[in-house]
Order: sequence, then structure tokens, then C-alpha cells
Amino acid sequence: MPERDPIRVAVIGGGCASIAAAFELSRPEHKGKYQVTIYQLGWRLGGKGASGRGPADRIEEHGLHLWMGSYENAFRLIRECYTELKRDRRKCRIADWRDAFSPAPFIGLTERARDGSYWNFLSYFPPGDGLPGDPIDENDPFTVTFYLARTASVLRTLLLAVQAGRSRRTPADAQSETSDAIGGNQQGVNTSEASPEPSRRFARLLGLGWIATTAGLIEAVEMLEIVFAPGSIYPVAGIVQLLEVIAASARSQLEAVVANDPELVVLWQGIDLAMASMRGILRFGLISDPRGFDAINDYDFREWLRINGASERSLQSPIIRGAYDLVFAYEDGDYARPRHGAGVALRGALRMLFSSRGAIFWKMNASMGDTVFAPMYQVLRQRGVTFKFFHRLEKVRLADASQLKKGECAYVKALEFDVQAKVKGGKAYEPLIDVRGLPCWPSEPDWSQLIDGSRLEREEWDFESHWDKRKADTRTLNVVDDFDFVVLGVGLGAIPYVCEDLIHRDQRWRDMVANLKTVNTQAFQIWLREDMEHLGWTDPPLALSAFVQPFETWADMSHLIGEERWKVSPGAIAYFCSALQDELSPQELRDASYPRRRRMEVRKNAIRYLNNDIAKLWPNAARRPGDFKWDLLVDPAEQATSRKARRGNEASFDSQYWRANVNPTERYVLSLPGTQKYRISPLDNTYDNLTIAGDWTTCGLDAGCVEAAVISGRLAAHAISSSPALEDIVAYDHP
Amino acid sequence: MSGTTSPLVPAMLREYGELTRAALTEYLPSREPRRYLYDLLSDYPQRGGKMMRPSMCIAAARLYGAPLEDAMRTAVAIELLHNALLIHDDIEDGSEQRRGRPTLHVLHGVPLALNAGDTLTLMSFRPLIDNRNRIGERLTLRVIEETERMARECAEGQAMELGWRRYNMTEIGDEDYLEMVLKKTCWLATIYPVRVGALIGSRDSVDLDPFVRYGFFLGAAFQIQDDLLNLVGDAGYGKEINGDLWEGKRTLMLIHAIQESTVEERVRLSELLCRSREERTLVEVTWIRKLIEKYGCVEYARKIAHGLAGAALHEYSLLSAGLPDSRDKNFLEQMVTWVIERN
Amino acid sequence: MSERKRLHRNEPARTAPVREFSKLYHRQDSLNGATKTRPAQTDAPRKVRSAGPLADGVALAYSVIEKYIAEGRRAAEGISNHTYTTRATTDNLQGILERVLRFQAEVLPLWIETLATVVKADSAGNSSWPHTNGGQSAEPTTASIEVVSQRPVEVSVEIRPNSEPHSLVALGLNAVDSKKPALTGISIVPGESPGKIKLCIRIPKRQPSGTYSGVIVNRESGETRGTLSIRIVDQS
Repeated sequence: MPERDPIRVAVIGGGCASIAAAFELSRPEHKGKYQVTIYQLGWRLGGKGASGRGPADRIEEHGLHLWMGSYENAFRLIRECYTELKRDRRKCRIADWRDAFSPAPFIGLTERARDGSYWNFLSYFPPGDGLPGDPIDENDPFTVTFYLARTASVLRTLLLAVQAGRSRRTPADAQSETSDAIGGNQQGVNTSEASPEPSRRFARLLGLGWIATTAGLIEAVEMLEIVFAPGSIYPVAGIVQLLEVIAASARSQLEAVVANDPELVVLWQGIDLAMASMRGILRFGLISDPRGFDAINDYDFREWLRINGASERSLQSPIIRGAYDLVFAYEDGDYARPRHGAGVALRGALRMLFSSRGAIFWKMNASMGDTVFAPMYQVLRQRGVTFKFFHRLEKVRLADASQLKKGECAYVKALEFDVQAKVKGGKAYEPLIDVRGLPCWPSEPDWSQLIDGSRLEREEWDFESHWDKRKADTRTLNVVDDFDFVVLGVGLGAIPYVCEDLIHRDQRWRDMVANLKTVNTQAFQIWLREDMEHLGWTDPPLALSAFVQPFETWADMSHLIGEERWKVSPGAIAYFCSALQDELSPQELRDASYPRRRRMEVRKNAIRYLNNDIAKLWPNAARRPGDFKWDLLVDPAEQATSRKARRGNEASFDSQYWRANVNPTERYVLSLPGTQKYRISPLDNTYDNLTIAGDWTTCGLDAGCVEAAVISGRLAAHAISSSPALEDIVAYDHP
Repeated sequence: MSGTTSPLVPAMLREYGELTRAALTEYLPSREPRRYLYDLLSDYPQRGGKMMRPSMCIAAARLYGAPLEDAMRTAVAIELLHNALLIHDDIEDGSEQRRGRPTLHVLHGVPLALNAGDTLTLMSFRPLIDNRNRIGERLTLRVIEETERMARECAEGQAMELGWRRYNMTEIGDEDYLEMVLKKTCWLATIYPVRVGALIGSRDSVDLDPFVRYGFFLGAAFQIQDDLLNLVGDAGYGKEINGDLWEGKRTLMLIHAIQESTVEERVRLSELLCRSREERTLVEVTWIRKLIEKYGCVEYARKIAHGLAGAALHEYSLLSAGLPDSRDKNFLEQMVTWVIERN
Repeated sequence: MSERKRLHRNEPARTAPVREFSKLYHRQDSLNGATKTRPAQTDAPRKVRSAGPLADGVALAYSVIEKYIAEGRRAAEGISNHTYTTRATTDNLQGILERVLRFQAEVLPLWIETLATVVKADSAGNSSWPHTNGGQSAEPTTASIEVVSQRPVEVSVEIRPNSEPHSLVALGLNAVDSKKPALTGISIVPGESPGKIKLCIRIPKRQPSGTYSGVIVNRESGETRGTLSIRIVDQS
């Protein structure tokens, strides 16, 4: 029996941020101090990460979800969740987090060759030590110099690779060859020997014109690693000069030579970008700027690299294109307007490259809903968290300014909900279904639990659509009576609709909704009869980006085949996603046919893409350009016995799965240059019973991703309960 | 305050001093150019010295339970810095003797000595950087920050004092003196060593301000005693007697004399202090000396020193209240008595 | 219905992440539960029952130190209030170390010389190193240059003061373009008067035009004593 009444927290929204906040507030250590209720529209948790199971138990996602090996907070939480859940391995095939997540160390990027064919570059990123979510070494905070040292090390690897590529020898051979050329009586310049004092090497490098050779260049870059080692005391001006010399020398030696070899070109572009980044970090004083990487957020990433000397070709390289694709960094979904804040981009890139653990990416072995939100739901239920499905927030009401006592903060007075549907018998809605032992979310609500369920089904009530306003009832929650604190985790796209009071009265909120932008996304999933090798893709399975727009990102999800249950088993599964151009005018907001229209548009895009573009990656997938082999697609209704004799046509696509994510809460937040300053922090205490949570808040990463959402959820929990300590939120404090 | 100094302090100074000296030689290379540089660097450290500063650092670290090794490199850095400053001080003061032998610039000329002093200062950072292998990045950086702070205070204090001499200030009060001593002497001699020692030992978890108080009172008492010895010290005293008077150094005694003197005396004093060391004659120095004796400045300064020592003991008892009894705890306490009773 | 009061969130210690490098090292070690212990205000200084000067001196000393400590605290708190001003913070490692190094004169001679070749002698501009004199009186090293060449040649040379004329040698000069052969045929001999140096440069007929640079070292100690750069002008 708690000593005093528990503090009631209303968490609105069921995405990553809200779930993280609820997870923190309901920790056993709090001993029931907080009574958490999660209010979720529709029938499933997850927000943009929600997923369902359709025919053949096939997984149906909003889009492509990959977790990065640097998502320390997200992994920590999901690992704790699985540990607490203690699923029985004999009954459930995903019993531990290692069952749920698998390393995905290959990344692919593509580059269009002059003849119209496509080069694919496969990158294998060797795993970092440990696993994401492991404890972090307290004594080694993330610093800019750490990243610089690692960048220098990567630079050296790239240079060695280029040199090897040129001479078609192994990097080790190339090095020893050039050291022989120097002459035996000199002090060894082989890097494996104990190096003479750095300053002597410097002098020799520069004075002898040594840096004019690639070996010298490599050694000069090794100097950089020494220079950036913690505790080094080399003055910045000298380092900048060294970088200039390295860059000039590298360019003159390498750029012309690699021009005709596409593989080497990409390596060279990586070198160029790495050098530009290092130079930029030093020139902009980011090592010691109190704002860290935020100092350059007013620049677009490409723009910033350009002014730091990256060549135009490098800026259009698949590396940069892929970086933009990964975060849908296209203003209004318009491919002609790629824009991404340089600070956010650089921070994200460095974290991805240098603080990933286990693998650079991790893929999920079922849908995100199944691997993340279902176990989270179960754990939270175990802990006593209450869930109210079919509750859609309509308005957040602030207390009248006139009613405030002297010195009192503004606060949230009431929350107005639409109750979309009610559960029979007034019971709690049971949202999960059992898919051969694994608790999953369905693609449709369980109509049988709802009052008037069959009628709602017949009338096709779409609980997740912004345009379907039908409801069974309304409900208002009042402060003190029904809740004490609010965690608003609804997604930035919904804010203008539900937070009119806040926007009306608070300039910062006005600025935020005006400046912080979101974008629609589109996605489709296909199930193919043949496996990837037969389709002509002989490389390892991966996620690939920087391909043709739209749908420039493709992920091979064939590992999910066993998770689904098809009568005719597919040989491959492929997911595609990208940004979707924006068109939303006020009239379209009210037009109920808008979502259907956009969905048809995505269908058209997908069909065109499959006809014209996919064959560049999968040569055997088309008969000839413009003619996709439609009979490759497997229909879930297909029986093993019925063999379609005739050739398929585009109508075959209708059995597949695709989405236009145009609902306001589904919109993906962008980190456009100059917009970071409009974000608001979950810790902000202007409304002293409200905190916000989501990847659109000031959460350190300030970018749209799972990790940002989880961090913001933990911050929101801290705002209410002072726990977790801010220092325990990994990499929240970070340059 | 007990009159008898226990043997603990000299014993611990000897013990920690030897350990520091041994570690210190690792950081002083013996390569070319010897005659011009590296022999000079080793000169002062080899002449001995009380090793008070490094010992206090080690003791403060061990107070909080840290192993001796954790503080050793910092102790080495402190001693190197201290010696570097001695070289510079001697040049600035025009001193001719240090620890019973001629000063470095007398032996080798000002340019070489200056260069040696600069080199030694720079070299004192190497052990601080090497700390990171032992105590981790975070503490290493904190120690370096403390060192930077100390170096700045030192320089400011030095500037104050030199400025007084240069501009022949005579309207200096006890408060100004204390502030100057705080910056110039106490930071390097007493405050910084115990601060970084406590920082290392407690892993930066204790408030370090109490060490500022303890170190200040202790260091001020130490300095006053030093100045007293310069006037009335016996044959064992390492520097030259009356050396401060020759330099016109604004000691507490001199300031007191200025304050107490009659108008004519003050005018004459002002004139005399205007002159540079070379221009001062033995007659004049003796006159100043007599003035000091006339107004009982020595006794005055001795009383102040005693009072400060008492305050230091008081502060120490506050900051060491929760700490378990140990040799180091007693050592730091008995240091207070030792500084004012040594000769 | 119980008499419930409206609850307020606690005022947060901060609302933004710490991005400043040196402060990242300052975080409280909360995992160990250890927080900085700040003792209660110190007692009033113990009244020592002795003659005047002693008590006065102690009181005075206390007032000095308390003022000093309070100022330090105020300064520290002011800085930790994350107003992102553009004023250079005094607390970052880069700044600390650069300032510490500025306290000294140029030591680590090799490093300085190396930087000089990189920073190109224009020390007033970019370098954060003040080239203060180590105290040695710098005898300017004069060099006379003898050139044998068919094409116009531009020579830039820089030699540290007090270099031993007998021991200097110019190592082979190289061009940035590795295809061009090194420029040899350069010798350094003592000049007519003590301390003077003579540079003898012979440009072979077939040496490609361009800029060749390298260092001048003391052949005994291996120490770099200067730099040499020769530009052969293309006659066409």
C-alpha cells in the first residue's frame, strides 16, 4: 500500500517516446509511486513503428526500420524489457533480445555509371566491441577529438585501400615497398616500428617531400591520429596546416588516378569527405565550442562540406546521397530540395561510424511491433500500467491565464479525447494476437471485442486515419481529478491539431510548428517467388540506399520468410521506402478521399519502379526494360496447387502491401538547417504539469530516429520523476 | 600549540621526498646538449630541498585512500614546477645563493638559466599527461585544469609583487600582502598540492574549497616564517641573510615597518626602496633592519604567523573530520606546526 | 474525493544537453551515488585569546580568503549556466594547453621548427606560438648563395641562428610531383667569416622545372636546422 496516493501520469501516444517514458516511470524502483495510463488511438501501439500481421501472417510495416549499433538507450531499454519479461523459449521463438535483433553489417550504396548501368558498393563494417546497450565506460566521455582520431584512422584505411587498388597489391606490401625506397640507413618509417618522436617524423615528412608519395601521405595521416590522441597538446593552427598539406597532396596524387575506376572513386570520395569533415571541425573550432556540433546547424551538410573543400563529385557521391536518403532529408518530400542540418548530420555520421557496437545496423527478426512494442506492452501491463486503446486526443486545454494565481505557472487543465470505439463489457481491450506462439499486433482491430464491432467493420472504420472522425463517444480528463502529469508523445504532425491553446499562447510553440518540418513517406513490400540469387542479386543480403528515387532504399528482408506462413513460400521479401512529396492544402485536409488518392499514387510509383528500375539491381527480375516479371509476386491467397499458367500483369501488385504515410501523426520529422533551435526540450518546465516526448524534441540527437525518441522519453520521465539521472542517458551530453 | 615538533613531519618528508626524487629522474633526460641544458635542469632538483610540496600532494591523496602511485606523477610535476619557478625567482630577485650553493644564473649566466627554467616548466607537463594511464582521462584533465589555475594565480601573484617593487609602492596594507601571498606562494606551495592530491584521492568527489582555506593559512604562515628566517635565520639557512632587504621585497615585516614609521622615516624608506639592488649600500640596508627591529615587526609577524597556523589547524580539523586516522592525516596536521617552527 | 492538490513538476537543473568538451568531464558521478559534498558554512573563526595582532591577523586572513572563495564560486556558477555566448570560454582543454604553452618560450626546438615549415615563417598570422626568445642572443646567420644554372632560379632559405656551419647538409630536395627526380647537387660550406654559411647550388640541365623543397640538417645530430626551397623557372 503506497504511503500516499500514487501520482497519475497520462501518457498520450504509444510510439517509442511514450513507451520509453512509461517504461521509466513504471520501474519497480519507484515502488508504485507513479500510476501510468497510456492513451492510444486505434488498436495498436507503435506510432510510426506500428506494424500488423496480414494474410499468411505476413508482416505489414509502416516502412523500413533498422536500428543502429549506436542506439545505446533504445537497446538498453529493450534488453531490460526482455530480461524482465522472461519469455519461455520453448513456447515463444523470440524469447530474448538476441532472438529479436540480428546484426546487419553490410550496407550498400549505388552509383550510376555513364552507360546507365549501376555500380553497387558493398561496405562491410566490422563490428565494434561489445553489444549496444552494454554499460558505457564512464571515464571516457564522447569528445570531438575522439571522433577526429577515429576519422584519421579511417582515412588511413581508405588511403591504404586506394593504394592497394592502384597497385593491386595488399596494403601491407605497398607500405613495405615504399619504405625500401627511402633507403636502409634512415630511421625506419615503417609504421609497425616504434615511431620516432612525432615532431621528427613531421620534419622528415614535409622536408623530404615525402608527403608527395602515397606512403608519406599515409604516414602523415598517422600523425593525425597521434595529434588527436587525448592529452595531446598540438596547437590547432599547426594541425589545420597539416591537413591542408595532406588534402592538397592527396588530391594531386589520387584524384586523377582513380577517376576511371568506380570502386576507387567511391573510396576517394570517402577520403575527400573525411578530410573535409576534419578540416571543418578544426576550422570551426568545434573541439572547444560549447555548442559542440550544434554550432554548424545553420548550414546544410553538403554546403558545409563544400566550404571545407570537398569536391563537387564527392558531394554527389552515393555516400552523401545515402546519408540524405536514410533520414528522408528532402524538404516537403521534394527530391530537388535535399536539406539536412550539418551539425545533426555530422554528429549522426560520427556516432554511426565510430560508436556502433556489435554491428553498424541491426535488423529485426519479426516486425518492429512484434519485436519491440509487443514485449514492451506485456512488461508494462505486468507492472500495472493501464492502456486505453481507441482514445484519440483531440485537444490539450490550458488553464485560463486569468485563473492563474499569482506566481503560478501555466498548466494543462484538461485533455479532450474522442473515444473511437468501446469495448464490450467495459473491459480492457486485449490487443495482441498469437501467431504460432509469438504475441503480435494484428493489421486490423479485433472487431469482436468492440461494441457494435461488426457494424464498425462493415462501415470500414479506419481508426488510424486522420480523415475518419467517427467516434463512439468523447471523454474529458481533468487535472487533479483524473491526472497529475501529462506526457505528450503524439508526434509533431499532430501538434497543430491538438495543441491550439499552446500554439495560440506561446510564441515558442508557434515558432516550432512553423519551422520544424515533417515529411510524408511511402513504402511498399513485395514477396517474390524466387530467391535473390535467382533474381540476379548475388551479393549478401543488406540494406541499400542512394538508388533511384523514389524508393531509393531497398532492404532485403528475406530473413522474415520463416516468420510468416505462406502456402506458397516466397523465396525473397523486399521492402522499399522513401519520402513522398507533400501537397497538403487546407481543402485536402478535409477531403476524405485524399488518403486513398495518395495511396493510389504510391501504387503507381511502385509499379513504375518495378517495371523500370529494379532490374538494375536484380537483372533477372525483368524480361526487358520496362517489363517486370509480374508473375514473380506471390499472392497470399495463392494455393500450392493452383499454378497460374498465364503471365501476370500489374494487377498482381494488388496482392502486395504498400502505404502512403500521410496521416499527420505518421509524418517523419526533418532536421532542416536552422531549425534545431526551434525544438523544445522535454525538460522545459513552462507548463509545470506537462512534458513532451518524441524525436522532434530537444533530445540531444535532434533527428528523426528511434534512439532520439527513446532519449526524449527518458528525458520526459526525468522531468516528472528526476529519474533516470541525466548522466545516465547515454550520449545525451555529447558534443 | 605544542612547542616540540614531532619527528613525523621530517620523516614523512624524507620518505615521500625520496620517492618523488626517484620518480623525477625518469623525467629528466640526460642527453645532449648537457652543458647547456640538461645538466642545468637536474641541478636544482639534485641539490635537495624539503620536498614539502610533493609530499603534501601524496599525503592528501592517501588521505582518501588512494594508492601512492596514483599521486606520484603529479607529485613529480609539482616538484619540477617548483624548481622551475625557483630558477626564475632567483633571476628576478637577483639572488646569489640557493640551497647553500650559487644560484643557477650565477653559475651559467642568465640566458642559459632562463632557458632551463622554461624547459623545466614545460617538462613538468609530461608527467601530468602521463597521468591518464594511471588515473583515467577525466581526472587527468581535472588535474591539468587545476594546474593551469595554479599557474595563473602564481603569475598574477608574482606580477603583483614585482609591480609593487617596480612602482615603488609603499601604501600596501596587510590585506594586500595576504592576497599577494595567497596567489604567489600559497597556490603552488600548499593549496594546489593538497587540492590535486584530494582530487585524485577522492576521484573528484569532495568539495575542494576547504583545501583553499587550509592551504592559504598554512602557506601564508610558511611564507612569513620564510621571510623571518631571512632576517633572523641562523647559519644553517640556505639563502643569504637580509637578502630580502637587499631586494626591497615587501615582506610583512617591511610593510609593518612602513606603516608604523614616522613621516621622515617613511620618506627615507621610500627613497631607499626606490633604488635598485646594486645601488643599495650596506649602511642603508642596516638602517632598514634597525627600523624593523625598532617597531617590533619581527614579533608582529611572528604573532600573525602563529595566528594563521591556528586558523590552518582549525580548517584542517573541519575538512578531515570524517577521515580515518592515519600517518598522512597526522602529517598534514603537524605540517602546520612544522612550518612555523622550522629554521 | 480526497483533498488532492495540483502537483507541480520540479524545476529541472538544466534543460539542454551539455555539449562543452571540458564540462563533459565534470559530470557528477551519479552512478556511484557520490555527490560533491559541500560542507556547511564554516564556523566563525575561533577567537584566539591572545594579543591583538594575532586575532586581527586571523580575522583579516579569513576575510581575504572568504572573499576569494566566494568570487571563485560565483565565476564557476556563471560559466556553468550554459548561455552560449561567443566569448571564449576559459575552461576548455585546447585553450588551457595553448595558454600553458604560451607561458613558456619556445622549447621543444624540433617541434617549433617543424611547425615553422608548415606555417611558413609567417608567425604573426596563424601560429599560436609566440616566438619569444629563449634568452639566447640570436646571432643572425648570414648565407651567401652561389648558383650555377641555365634557367632562372628562385631560392628561399631559412636557417636557425647559431647553427654549426661545418655540419650542415641539405638533404635531397623533392618536388610535389613524384615523377620529377630529386634535386641534388647542393652543398653547404662555411663562409668567409665565422658564423657565415655558403650555399652552393648546381641545377642540372635536364632537371624539370618546378619547386623543390627540403630541410637542412646538422649531419652530426640529425637536428633540423632550416629549410630550403628552390624554384626552377620554366624558360619557355
